Amino acid sequence: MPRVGQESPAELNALGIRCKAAARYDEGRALYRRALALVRAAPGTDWNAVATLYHNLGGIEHARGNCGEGAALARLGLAIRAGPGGGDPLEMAADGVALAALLEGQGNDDEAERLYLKALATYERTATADPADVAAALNNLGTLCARQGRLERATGLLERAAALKRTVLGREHPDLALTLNNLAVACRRRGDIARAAALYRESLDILERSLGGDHPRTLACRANASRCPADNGRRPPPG
Amino acid sequence: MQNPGQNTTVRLRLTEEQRALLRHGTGRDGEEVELRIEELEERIAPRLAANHNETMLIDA
Repeated sequence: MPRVGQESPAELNALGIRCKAAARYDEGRALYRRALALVRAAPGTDWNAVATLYHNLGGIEHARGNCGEGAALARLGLAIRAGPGGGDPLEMAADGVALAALLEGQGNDDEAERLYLKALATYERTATADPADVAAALNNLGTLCARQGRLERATGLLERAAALKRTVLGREHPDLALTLNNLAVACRRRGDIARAAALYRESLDILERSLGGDHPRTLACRANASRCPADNGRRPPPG
Repeated sequence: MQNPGQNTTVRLRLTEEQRALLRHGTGRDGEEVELRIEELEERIAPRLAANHNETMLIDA
């Protein structure tokens, strides 16, 4: 175990990701900032690492709902990654998805959708794409479509995201629960109350076991589920 | 990072202690290991993981 104050940027970054997942945002931001200072101070700065740390700092602001500040950080990360010679297409696609989520938070759905579609096209062309990255892009495009009332498309995208997450993350992962929550909302809006109720139950069970009852995601999912009428056997209209 | 045109594999000669560990761990014997540059970089300086900004629907 590293001594306090002597962690490497990779260790600080990994801790920062865990803090974000646990909704400990101030700690996460401080860890990323320390990692960034170390990377910048090292001889022969690793600009790819700098780009990732700005990406992750933007993620903290996304989780807090500070989308303007987060988008500025994410754009900086993306610009650094691109560099003079162009960055790795898969990493730039993941940066684009992270930025798009922040743009959605600012009401810029058009640019967000373009970035999601561009990332998904990159993933489809590349055999080495990380399935977890693909699932995140599908989840976010699905939620954007659901917000806009494009429910059939949203359902298809979210089903694909959930299937991928079950395979690569496992059945107990909170990121799977997030997508199940989103799919439940889309189903509820389409009138498929029975399926929505079942999805909410599964999502809440996972969130309570993995993140605890007081985590912001658990609270949001529970509030959504409480607005879903009890399963009365209704089915969506045909087509 | 790897430079274009650079040799893409590196051979590392194992010490006696490393060879013993290899035998113990895998049952195989060997004097050298061969790594692609990408594998070596991943060991020496692992890339930092990027988080996902996944969006969550609120059913208001």
